[in-house]
Parts: sequence; C-alpha cells; structure tokens
Amino acid sequence: MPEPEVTVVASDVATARRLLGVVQPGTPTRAVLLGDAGDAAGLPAGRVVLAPGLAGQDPAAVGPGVAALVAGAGAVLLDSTQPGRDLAGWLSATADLPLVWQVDALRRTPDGGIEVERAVMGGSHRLTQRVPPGQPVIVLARPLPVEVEPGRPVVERSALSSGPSALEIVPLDPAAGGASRLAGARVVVSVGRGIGGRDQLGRYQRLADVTGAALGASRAAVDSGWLPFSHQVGQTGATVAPDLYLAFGISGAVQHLAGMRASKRVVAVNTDPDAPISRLADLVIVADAGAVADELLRRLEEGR
Amino acid sequence: MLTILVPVKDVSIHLRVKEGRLTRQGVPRRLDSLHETPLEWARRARESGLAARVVAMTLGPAGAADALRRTLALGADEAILVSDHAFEGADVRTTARVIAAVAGRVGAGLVACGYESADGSSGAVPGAVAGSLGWPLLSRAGLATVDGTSLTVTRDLGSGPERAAAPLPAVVSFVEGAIEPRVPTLREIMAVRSAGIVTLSSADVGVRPAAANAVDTGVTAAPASRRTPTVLGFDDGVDSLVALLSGAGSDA
Ligand SMILES: Cc1cc2nc3c(=O)[nH]c(=O)nc-3n(C[C@H](O)[C@H](O)[C@H](O)COP(=O)(O)OP(=O)(O)OC[C@H]3O[C@@H](n4cnc5c(N)ncnc54)[C@H](O)[C@@H]3O)c2cc1C
Repeated sequence: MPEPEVTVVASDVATARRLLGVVQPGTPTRAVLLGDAGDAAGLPAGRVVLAPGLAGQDPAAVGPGVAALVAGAGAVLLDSTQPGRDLAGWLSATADLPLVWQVDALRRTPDGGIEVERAVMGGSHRLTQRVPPGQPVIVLARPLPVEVEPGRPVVERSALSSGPSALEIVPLDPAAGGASRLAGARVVVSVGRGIGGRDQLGRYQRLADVTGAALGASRAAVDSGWLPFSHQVGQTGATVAPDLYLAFGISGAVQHLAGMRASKRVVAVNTDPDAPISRLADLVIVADAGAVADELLRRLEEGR
Repeated sequence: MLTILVPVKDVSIHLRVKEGRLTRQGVPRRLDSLHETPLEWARRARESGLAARVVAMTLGPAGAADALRRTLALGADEAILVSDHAFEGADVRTTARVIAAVAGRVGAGLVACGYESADGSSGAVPGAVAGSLGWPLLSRAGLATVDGTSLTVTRDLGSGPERAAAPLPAVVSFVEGAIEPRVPTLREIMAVRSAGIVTLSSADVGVRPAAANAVDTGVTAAPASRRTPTVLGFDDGVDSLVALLSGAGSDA
C-alpha cells in the first residue's frame, strides 16, 4: 500500500504553495483547494482536488466536506489564519485527531511516522515533535519562505459543497478587505504605535506605494483601529519574509518578531536605540518615524 | 436564563529547557490576561441582566486554583477546576472535550473563550470546543451583544470588519482591545482568598485523555539570529535607507 499523502488545505493557490513548502521534498503530497482558489497548474503537489463548492469561513459548514476529502491523509496542513485555526480545531475534535501548531517543517520518519518542527521560546530554540506511524495529524503551519520547483499535478474535481451555516454575516466596510499583499511582498513598510496615530498613516501608505511595498502593522496599530487586521504581522497575523522589512515605531515584541524574523534585511526607525527590534535589525535609525518617512518620500519622489 | 462558561488558562510567563525538554516547571504562573477579556464581557452581560450566571473554569494542576480565585475577584460567580494526573499534557481535543463536558454540566448556553493564550498555544481550542458541542462558532469577536436567542459580534477575520450573528447555544472567542478588563480592588482580592473552588476529576467530567498524541522528542538551540546593527542618526540613516531602497546597497 502506498503511504498516505500529506494533504494541504487552502482557499487560494498561493497559500497552498507556501504550505507545500513546509513538507520535505520527495514526500507524496496532495492539495485540496476550497472555493474559487485560482489556477492550480504548476502547484508543486502530486495531486490537486478542486472543491469549488466548499467555501466560507464557518467550520461547521465547510468542515464535513473537508473531513470527507482529507479522510485517509497522513497529515492535514492548514495555515495559521483565524479561519485556518477554527477549521483545524473543529476537525481535530470531530475527527478525533491530534493537532500540532506553528509548524515550519514536516517530514516522514523512516518508520512511516511524521516529524514536525517549530520555533519556541521567542525563536531561540526549536522543538521537534513526532506522531507515531499510522496516526494522522492536523498541522497548523507557519511557512518560511522557500523556493519550490513547480510541479505537474493530476487535477481532479470534487462536487462536495458546504452545508448550511447558522451564521449571518454582514460586511461593515465593503471597501475594506481584499486579501492584503503581505504574504509575497519583497518590501514591507510596517507601522507601530510609535507613529503616533491614524492621522499619520498617509505618509506610510504613500511610501509603500512609491517603493512597491505592502503595508504591515503591529498589533498595537491594528488594535487601535488604525489599520484592518489583514495588515497585522506577527504570531497572530501574517508571516512575511521580504527582502527588506522597514519598521516604523515598532518596539519588536516576540509576538511581532515571530511574523517577520525571516526577513532578509530589517531596518528599524525608532526614537529608542535599545528597542528590542534592534536585536534583529541590520540598520537602526534613531529618529522620529514621521520625519524619516517624509524625508524618504521627498528624496524618492525627487529622484523620479 | 443564560449561563456563560468562561474557560481560562493559568499560563507560565515563559518556557524553559531542562535536560533537553521544554518545561513550565519552576516558572511563575498567572491567569492569562487575554482571558480576562471574555470574563469582563460576561460580567457586564450579567450586570446588565442579559445573563444570569458566569462560571469560570480551567483544566490544570492543583496550583491553577489561584488563577481561578482571580476570576472570582474579576466577577465570576463560580469557578471549577478540572484536575487529574490523567490530563497532564492534555492536547487540543482533550481540552475541548473537558470544556464541552463542563458546559453541559453547568447548563451553559454560551462558551466565551479568549482567541488564543499568551503562552504560544494553538489558538485552535475554541474551534475544537464548537466541534465537540456541535454549536456554531463566532471567532475573533471585538465586541458582542447577546439577547435571549442569539449572539452578535463585530470582528475582522482578515477580510475586513463584519457583523456576524449566531443562534444560541454558541461558542465565541474574543480578541483584546475593545473591551478593557477591570482591575480587581484589594477588597475583592481579599474576599476571594479562601473561596472554595469546585474540583472535578477525569471520571467526574466523563472525559478520558486521547490516546494517540504528538510527543515532544527534543529541543535544540536555534542558530544564533542576533545581528549587530548599524546605528545611525537622522541624516546618515536616511542616506543609507535611500541607497537600500534604490537597490544601490543591495549587496552591502
Ligand atoms: C497572544 C499574543 C499575540 C500577539 N500577537 C501579535 C502579533 O501578531 N503581532 C504584533 O505585532 N503583536 C502581537 N502581540 C502584541 C505584542 O506583544 C506587542 O504588544 C505589540 O507588538 C506592540 O506593538 P508596537 O511595537 O507597535 O507598540 P509598542 O510596543 O508600544 O512600541 C512602540 C515603539 O515606538 C517607538 N516610538 C515612540 N515614538 C516614536 C517616534 N516618534 N518615532 C519612532 N519611534 C517611536 C517606541 O520607542 C517603541 O519602541 C501579541 C501579544 C500576545 C499576548
């Protein structure tokens, strides 16, 4: 009997690709794509199952269909967004499966078990966990950036659809939303409490536009209502790994660092030279965030 | 009338490594401040007559009783400690089943959780509780209102703010920010110092720990990630950054 595939479950192709990057190359894989997920050609998986009828963020509505599709998988990977966590918890309880989290590497052991790794203690250590052979496991993943060779998956279609949802949902700001561009960004301009207020945001938004960057934020900035949650970087928000991460007025709490540690280059603009983010930074500019942003804008816009 | 169950966690401030294993042993513990948000929301619901009773609970060692006493000072009417050697290292499923069993036992119509816990947990327990009970889940609530038959929250799951409603019974998870927890007065703290805590065992709640679990097999120091930053003032800093952004410094 062939060994059970490692199955990733995602609502868009980009997330599926990142999740597949967590799995050791050479492991048989399958991607289950929920809803209108985009073009699956080239996904680095052996098989792809398109399930356009399984959409939505209510685990009770999508869960049964997903459970049917992943039955028999050796491991089921989901991303660590809130809908991912909700579905993972729901599946763990209803299918009676163990759950591991914050996983950035997964491999099969020679005996057919599964071994996963994650960062612990603010990134100073790595924890390895093992699941015995034959025991499927739910994995909440936190992918690191890796280059994965495109694949040529066999694509199937599933006719399953979501069950009825008991939830009634009304968007409050139809203009907001849309997935943020954080995940794949090469440059991220990120703002924290130190920028001083929502009325200060304009210059950072402009700086992001001028440099082709995505706009990120600390939880303090999101909790203050300056930016929607989709901009949050960190343990609870997005994980980013740009070539350049520019942090304006962000202190660098471990929960923030958890989401941007893999950035190639980090520049911090902070009035406090000893802010914890300096431990991860290549360059610290000890100055007022707004003044630096304005001067950058002036120089960059002048240079055009 | 509505009973609200608030599952809380007694968390250690951090983890440490001992003989190649992660442990919480010997690390100071406290009630997770994240879980004070659902507790405060539930207290306000009771104060305004929308709920009759607020029950706090935790699954943990005998020492977790201190964290539960704090929930009483913060406004819970009752506190339940589920404690059993069998539950040591309980996973997400087992934790959720215990919470679901206690919800049944106290006749809860709403389980109000924190969206995760401060000790780097999975954030998957609220979903697992909803799955165990077969109740709808409203996650990441900032604010919430409850009436006799339904719960309505405002939240943002990453695709913009929305209002979401579910019929009761239901499970809700709260984020911090919109509801400011109270600070108990000294008098309230003193008043609960010797308060009785109901303690239940695995047999009492009728839940056995899941057999097949993931096990920790090792902890290793990660390669040092500390960098030595260049520290500059305004003028030099802006010069360097302009160079970086223009690509000139890309191999500096
Ligand atoms: C369970 C849990 C999960 C969490 N998840 C996340 C998460 O996903 N993401 C996240 O970001 N946080 C998260 N946090 C919160 C985190 O612990 C910090 O509270 C948060 O990151 C702080 O945001 P901040 O750096 O913007 O604010 P602060 O810590 O207040 O830092 C503000 C910084 O601005 C600087 N400053 C002040 N004035 C100026 C000025 N004029 N110019 C330049 N700099 C200035 C200050 O020196 C300071 O360093 C989480 C916390 C918990 C408990």
